[in-house]
Amino acid sequence: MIFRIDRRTGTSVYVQLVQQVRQAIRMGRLAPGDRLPTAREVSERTGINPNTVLKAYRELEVAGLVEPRQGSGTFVRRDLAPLPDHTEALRRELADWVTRALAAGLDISDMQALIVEAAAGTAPTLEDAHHVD
Amino acid sequence: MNWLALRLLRPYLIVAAVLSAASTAFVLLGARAIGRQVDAHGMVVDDYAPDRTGLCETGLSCLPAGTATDLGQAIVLIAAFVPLLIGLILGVPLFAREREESTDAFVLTQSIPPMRWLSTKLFWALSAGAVCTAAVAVSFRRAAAGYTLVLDDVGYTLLGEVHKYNVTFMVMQAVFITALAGVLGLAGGRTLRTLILSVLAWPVVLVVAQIGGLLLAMVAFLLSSWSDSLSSMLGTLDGDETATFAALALAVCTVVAVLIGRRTVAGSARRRP
Amino acid sequence: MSTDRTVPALDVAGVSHSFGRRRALYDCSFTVPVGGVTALIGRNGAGKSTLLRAASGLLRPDGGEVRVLGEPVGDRSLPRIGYVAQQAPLYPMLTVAQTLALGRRLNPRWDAGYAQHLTDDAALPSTARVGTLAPGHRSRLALVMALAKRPELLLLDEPLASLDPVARTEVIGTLMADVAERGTTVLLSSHVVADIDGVCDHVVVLAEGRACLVGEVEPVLAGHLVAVGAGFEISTLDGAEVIEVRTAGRDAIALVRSAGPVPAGDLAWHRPTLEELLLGYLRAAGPELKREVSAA
Repeated sequence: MIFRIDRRTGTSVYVQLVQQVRQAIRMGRLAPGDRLPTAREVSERTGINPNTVLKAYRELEVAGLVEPRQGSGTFVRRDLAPLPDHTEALRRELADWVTRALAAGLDISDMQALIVEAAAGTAPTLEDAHHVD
Repeated sequence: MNWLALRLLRPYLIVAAVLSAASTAFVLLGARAIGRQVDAHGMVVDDYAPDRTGLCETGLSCLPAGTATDLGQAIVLIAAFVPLLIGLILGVPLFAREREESTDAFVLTQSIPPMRWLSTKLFWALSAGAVCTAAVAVSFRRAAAGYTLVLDDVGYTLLGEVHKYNVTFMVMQAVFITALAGVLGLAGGRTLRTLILSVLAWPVVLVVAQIGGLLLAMVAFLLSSWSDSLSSMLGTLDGDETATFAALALAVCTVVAVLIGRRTVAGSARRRP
Repeated sequence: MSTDRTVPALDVAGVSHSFGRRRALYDCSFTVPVGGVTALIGRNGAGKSTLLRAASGLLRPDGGEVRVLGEPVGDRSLPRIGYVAQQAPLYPMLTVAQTLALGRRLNPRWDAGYAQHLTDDAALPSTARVGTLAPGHRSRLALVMALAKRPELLLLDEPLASLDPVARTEVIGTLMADVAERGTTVLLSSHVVADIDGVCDHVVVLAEGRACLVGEVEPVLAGHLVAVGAGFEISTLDGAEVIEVRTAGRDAIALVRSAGPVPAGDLAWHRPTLEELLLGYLRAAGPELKREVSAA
C-alpha cells in the first residue's frame, strides 16, 4: 500500500490517509488480513509525521476497518461494501440538487464553491466532515 | 577530546615546532661561529650572568663589527621574539578560529562539557608553547647568552631592560601570550582582531611582568621578615632571580586569563547575535 | 525510551535575551510536548535561532529559564539533545569518516551502525573532506551527527534550507522514521511554511521575540476561519477575534479565531490551510499581540 499525500488540497493529511485506506479496501487493493505499512514505513517514505499516521490508523480501528495485532502491525479486518445504502440516498438527493442548480444557471465550479462553503459552515470540525462519507 | 584538540592544533603545532627547531639550530650554530671569533680575538667569556655589567664596556673588550656581531644580534632577536611568536601561533587561532567558523556550536553541543573543551584545548596549546619555547630558551642560555656580553649593541641593551634572557621567564612569556591570545579569541571570535590585540598587548605584558615581579618580590621579602637569611636573600636579588619573580607574575597572569576564559565559556556567547 | 512523557521535552519560561540594543527574545514562554514534531515558525530575526541556541546550551539567556526534559540546560542535558545550527558547522579539515569517528569519541550514546547507515543513505563519500562537500551534503552530515548521537530531543535550525528537493524529502523521511521508531521529540525552525505542512503536529509562532501562537496543528486549524467578502462587513465582525485583515479594493479577507458556528451574513467562510493560518499570524504579529491556543 502506497499513500499519496496532496498538501495543496485543504484536506488534512490524516483525513487523506483514512480516505486512501478506505478507498483501497473498497477497490479490493487491500483485502482482509492484509497488513498496513507501519507508521515508520509510511513516515520514512512520505515524510508524514508518524503521529498523524497513527492517528489515521486509530480512526480506522474505531471504524472497525482495521485491527492492531500486538507486535506484528495493523491488519485489515473486513471488507467495505462498494457503496453503502445511506451513500446512495445522499447521492440521489445531490443529483436533485445539481439539477436545480443547473437550472439556476450555476456551473460546476460554482457548485463546488457552494459545497465547500456549506461544508465549512455547517460542519466546522474536520472529523464531522469526514464522517459524512 | 584530546584527539580533536591535537588534530585542530596540528598545523599550528607543526609551524611552532619548525620555528622552534630552526631557532634552536640557528642559536647553536651561531653561538659556535661567535665562539670561534671570540677565541680568535683571545677573549675569555664566562657563563652568562645578566647583571654583570658586561665585558663590553666602552668598546674595550667588544668584538669588532662583522659576521660574528651580526649573528649575535640575530640570536638576541630570536631569543626576544620567538616566545612571542610561538605564543601567537598557538594562541590566536585556538578559539578565534572555532568561533569564526562556528564550529564551537558543533563541538559544544556534543556530550562534552564546555569546561572540558576549554581546558583540554588550553592544556595542549600551553604545553606545546612551553616545550617549543623551552628548547630555544635552554639552547640560548647554555650556548649563546654569554656571548651577548661581548656584543656592543644598543638595541640589545634596550631590549635587555624589559626582556629577561632567563629560561623560566621566556617559557612563561610564551605560555602567557598563548593563554592571552586564546582568551581574547574566545571573547572576540575574530582571528585578525585577536592577532592585533595580542601583538599590542605584548609590550604591556612585559611591563606588567616587570612590575608584577617586583611587587611579588617585595611581598615575598615582607613575608619572609621572620627569617634573616631568607629576607637578606630576597632583599638582594640578582638578575635571574628578578626574572624568576617576573615569570611568577606571568604565571599569575596566566591563571587569571584562564579563569576569565572559564567565565566567558560559562556565560557563553552572550555577546553574539 | 527512558523519557518521561509527562514532563515537556522543552519548557521555555519567560525567556528574554538581547544582543546589545536588539531584543531577540522578550518574555517568551511555551512548552514542546515529548514525542511530537514541533515547528518553530517566525520571520527572519524573530528569535528562532536564539531560542534554539538557548535550548542547546550555547547561549545563556539574560532572563527566564529553559528546561530540557525536566532539567535545566547544562552539562547533564548535553547527551540528551541533538542540535544542528543554521549553517551546519563542522570541521572542514576532517574527512567524513573522521567526523563520524569524532562523534563516537565525543558521545557516549553514539550509534556507529546507524551513523554509517545514514551516511550511506545520503551517499556521503567517506574519504572526502568536509570542507569540499556541497552545502547540502554538509547539512546532511550535520544531521547524521545529531541523529547518531541518539538524542531524545532534536533541535534543528532551518534544517532543510540548503537541501535540494530530493534530499529534502529524504531528510524529512529519515527524521520522521526516527520519530516513529524511537519517539524522538523534534523541534525544527523554519520560515518556509510549506516545508512543515504534514511534518509537524505542533506549531509555535514566534514574532517580536515572543510566542504568539502555540498549539497542536489540528485543533488550531479547527479553531480558526477565513472570511472573504466586502470590507465593510468584515469590519463589523464582532464576537470573533480577528487576527488579521487584508483588503483589496472593496473586498477583504480576514483570519478569525472562532471555534463556534459561522455567523450569518454574506461573507464566505473557509477553513484556513496551515499556510494561510501561519501567514496570517506572521503578518499580523505586532508587539502587543499575545494569543494562546491551549496545547494538548
